[in-house]
Amino acid sequence: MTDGVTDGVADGAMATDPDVELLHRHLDGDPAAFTEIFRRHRDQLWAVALRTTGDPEDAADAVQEALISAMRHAASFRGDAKVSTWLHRIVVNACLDRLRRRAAHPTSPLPDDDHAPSIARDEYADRDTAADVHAALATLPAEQRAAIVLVDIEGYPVDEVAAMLEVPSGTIKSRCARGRAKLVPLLSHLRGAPDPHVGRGPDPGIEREPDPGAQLRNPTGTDRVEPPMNPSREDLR
Amino acid sequence: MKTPHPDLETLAELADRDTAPASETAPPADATGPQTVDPRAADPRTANPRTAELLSHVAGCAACTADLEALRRVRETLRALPPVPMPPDVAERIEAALLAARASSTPIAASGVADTVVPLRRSKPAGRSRPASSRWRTLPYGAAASIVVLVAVVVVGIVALGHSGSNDKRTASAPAATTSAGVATIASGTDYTSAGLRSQIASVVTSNVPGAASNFPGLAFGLSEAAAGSAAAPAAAAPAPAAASSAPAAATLAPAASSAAAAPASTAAPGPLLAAPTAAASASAGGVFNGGTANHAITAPAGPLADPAALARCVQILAGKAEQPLLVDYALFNGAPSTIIVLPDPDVAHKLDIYVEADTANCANQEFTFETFLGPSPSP
Repeated sequence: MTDGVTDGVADGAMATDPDVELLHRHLDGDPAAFTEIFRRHRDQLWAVALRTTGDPEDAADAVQEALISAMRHAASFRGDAKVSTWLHRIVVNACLDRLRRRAAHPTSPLPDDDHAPSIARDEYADRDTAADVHAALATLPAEQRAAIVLVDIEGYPVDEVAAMLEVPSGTIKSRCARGRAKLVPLLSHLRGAPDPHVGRGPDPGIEREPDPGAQLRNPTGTDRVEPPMNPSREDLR
Repeated sequence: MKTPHPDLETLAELADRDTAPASETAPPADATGPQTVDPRAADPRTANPRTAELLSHVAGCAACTADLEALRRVRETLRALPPVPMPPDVAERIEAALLAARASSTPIAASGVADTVVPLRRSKPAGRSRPASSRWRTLPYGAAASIVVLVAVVVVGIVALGHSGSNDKRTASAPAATTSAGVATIASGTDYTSAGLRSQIASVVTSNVPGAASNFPGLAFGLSEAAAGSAAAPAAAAPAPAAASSAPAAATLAPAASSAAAAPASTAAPGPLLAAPTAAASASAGGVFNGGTANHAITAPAGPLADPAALARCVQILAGKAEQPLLVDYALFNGAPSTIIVLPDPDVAHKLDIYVEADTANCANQEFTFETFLGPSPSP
């Protein structure tokens, strides 16, 4: 490797970061180092991939191809972000690519909007809630879904998610806001929470803002799914 | 209350301002979790008159307050989802894949471009490591070395053959001084269809690219799909299958090897072929097909990708790196003028990726149709 590469990693001011240390060892030829990086992050990466793609098989494929890519291009890590951010970026991109590709795939089964996407078996302690959330997430456009998954479910800071998705922080915030607004009517039945829209008639004399605002308050006014989450793909297993 | 109700999205943004800093300073307890604190310290509510107006409306509006509460509950529900650890079988599978990938390549470090390249915007479809699905079965394949030689022959064989069936003379005659091998560019006139894509591609590739069938065993399934009389239209107008056997292997192998030797270390990641013991493989993996084709005489349907530079850029985007296509067919897809690009998968040996890019599409948007012919599954 060139000095520039190693310097690039070392100069990231994160020399004490164990991930950076491991990345160094990987680049130096340590056969176990990258596996160790994978082990340190696999659960977070898995959660993001599973919830973004909605399908365990796709999530596994996405994480696998992302990690192989990351391993091969480890030297391109420039230390201007944390290793975990970099890995998340690659995994999320792999997921989004997969969803886009499937949307364009001529032979994959058509997405069935009437059914929730398949959910990982035995993955959730509270299957009902998780299944409902999954089904609701599936109605979001993929990029909104990714933002919601990273910020609201996984709890990453907006700025870090912005770095992962390579968009401005404001974009993440607005994706999250739009996504949450769409989720409200879909999730308001959970926890016995009263649906705030039930019985809320239009206030006389008060004008609602025009679309899309009014649309967002309509539980049936969800946007089209784009790209679709994974339909069942038993034929590929 | 003269102010109209804000829509839910606006309320969500409003709520975000109220609650985000608190929630964002509570990252996962994991050491690798987020540590950055959103520096959005200044309260924008005081700065934005519209926001102040909204707040004053919401404060006195039961409906909006209920909406805010619903939004808060959504975030609470999302945040309370239980963690989903990676299942052990998935973890094992990925570790095995990492090990295998590591065995077949080394980290890219020496080229001097690694620190300027961000090659990770797109990743490739991973080979499914699970063996033997009903649809894509495992196929035996020959010794790696002989296949590598065949690949070299194929690439140069395409140069020699060009395509004899159509009148657009896109024979790829790379000047001896350049390092690029040719691309099999044809205008077969085929109207590929969604349903028949695999079998059509299999037929066209097999007819036009000598040795393809043995290098990419997955093609056999495409052919068998066609033979099985599926709904697919028979691959039409595949030119001159007879010519496929006429490539003089010995004569073409030498230039392939020399072009590979002359090829500079490119930005391409070491593809799976590089793991093979002969440098001839890089004729396929490393060649950047700049100037390898003479596109001026093309007469068949040809969109923006008839320009080799545009095609190279597109392939770079689609495959994630410069990659030598096995075949490019300026044809139709579901009746629409399209470019069909058949690429060896950058990561999985003996796997073929098919991209159908409509002439009206933009490679950068990744609005393409994708199919694949799997390589052999790893032996159990």
